[in-house]
Amino acid sequence: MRLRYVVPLGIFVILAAFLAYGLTRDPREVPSPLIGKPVPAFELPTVHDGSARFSPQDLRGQVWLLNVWATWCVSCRQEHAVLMEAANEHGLRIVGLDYKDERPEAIDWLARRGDPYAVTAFDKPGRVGIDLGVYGVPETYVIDADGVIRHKVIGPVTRDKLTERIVPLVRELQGAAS
Amino acid sequence: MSARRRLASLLLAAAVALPGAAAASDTIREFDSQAQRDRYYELLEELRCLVCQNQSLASSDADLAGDLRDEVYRLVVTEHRSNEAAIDFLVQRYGDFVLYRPPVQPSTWLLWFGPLIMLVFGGGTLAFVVRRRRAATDPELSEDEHARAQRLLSGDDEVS
Repeated sequence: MRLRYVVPLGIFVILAAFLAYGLTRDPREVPSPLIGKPVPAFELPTVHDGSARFSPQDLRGQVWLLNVWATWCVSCRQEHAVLMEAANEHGLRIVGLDYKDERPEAIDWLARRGDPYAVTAFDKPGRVGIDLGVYGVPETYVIDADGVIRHKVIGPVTRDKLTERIVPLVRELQGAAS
Repeated sequence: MSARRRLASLLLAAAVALPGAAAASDTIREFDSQAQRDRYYELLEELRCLVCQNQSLASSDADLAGDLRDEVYRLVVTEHRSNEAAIDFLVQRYGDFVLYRPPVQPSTWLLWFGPLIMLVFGGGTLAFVVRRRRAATDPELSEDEHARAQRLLSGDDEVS
């Protein structure tokens, strides 16, 4: 007889626990199938020089970040300061991928706000973005010395994410590479 | 009056027809055949836009959805690839999330078979409760009552 009250209560508690856990998750963060896979091959002009070419192949043997950004992206502004810090204080090598943007505006942005990027590739049609599975700018990939994507941040890189996740991971990967 | 009514029904028809036509009409598409066209639009309905997550590629206005429609068009119409090839293309880049119909695999077993388990569980509980209740409310007739019921049923006795 007691069971009659205990069973629904038990079911309710289990359901509530699942729902509560669900609330802590961000539905916009779709896990990327590219993690653990080589970064897709591409070759793009750079923002500053239409005839120069950047390819991920150029950075073989190095651990680097690929940061997808655009001047029309509002949260990229917020992220920019953190990227400056990552480049200048932590010495990370960051490659920009300027996604579906206009060249003069991008050059102007980098000149005015500072340029955290070793090089910025220019992807106006957004084709490389599709190959990378980009669906919301900014997105940031951590790529190891073998050219394999090890981690992805969707949305702006915050200071917490930088110091707690990205920097330790980059150091670990650098240690493994050397 | 009848002219006005006709106009009204025309407008209504247009209003009903338009959303379907407006979906994915940002670019004019050309197809080799009606079958190919159907295939293209069916695919778009099956694929989810990642920007507005509860819309399909067919209905989403997001910039990325437009680009992905271009990709699907390129694969299916220009390159004559199969539906599977187009779906694979997107899944490789964006994961199973783009599929409105997720594949059956260990991580989705609960999703696919959960409702069935719930049905069996609920049906079992119902059967159990009904049987128990019936057992509790089925009083045995005494000898006298049984005899009286017998008499009533055979109709050779008036109700006393």
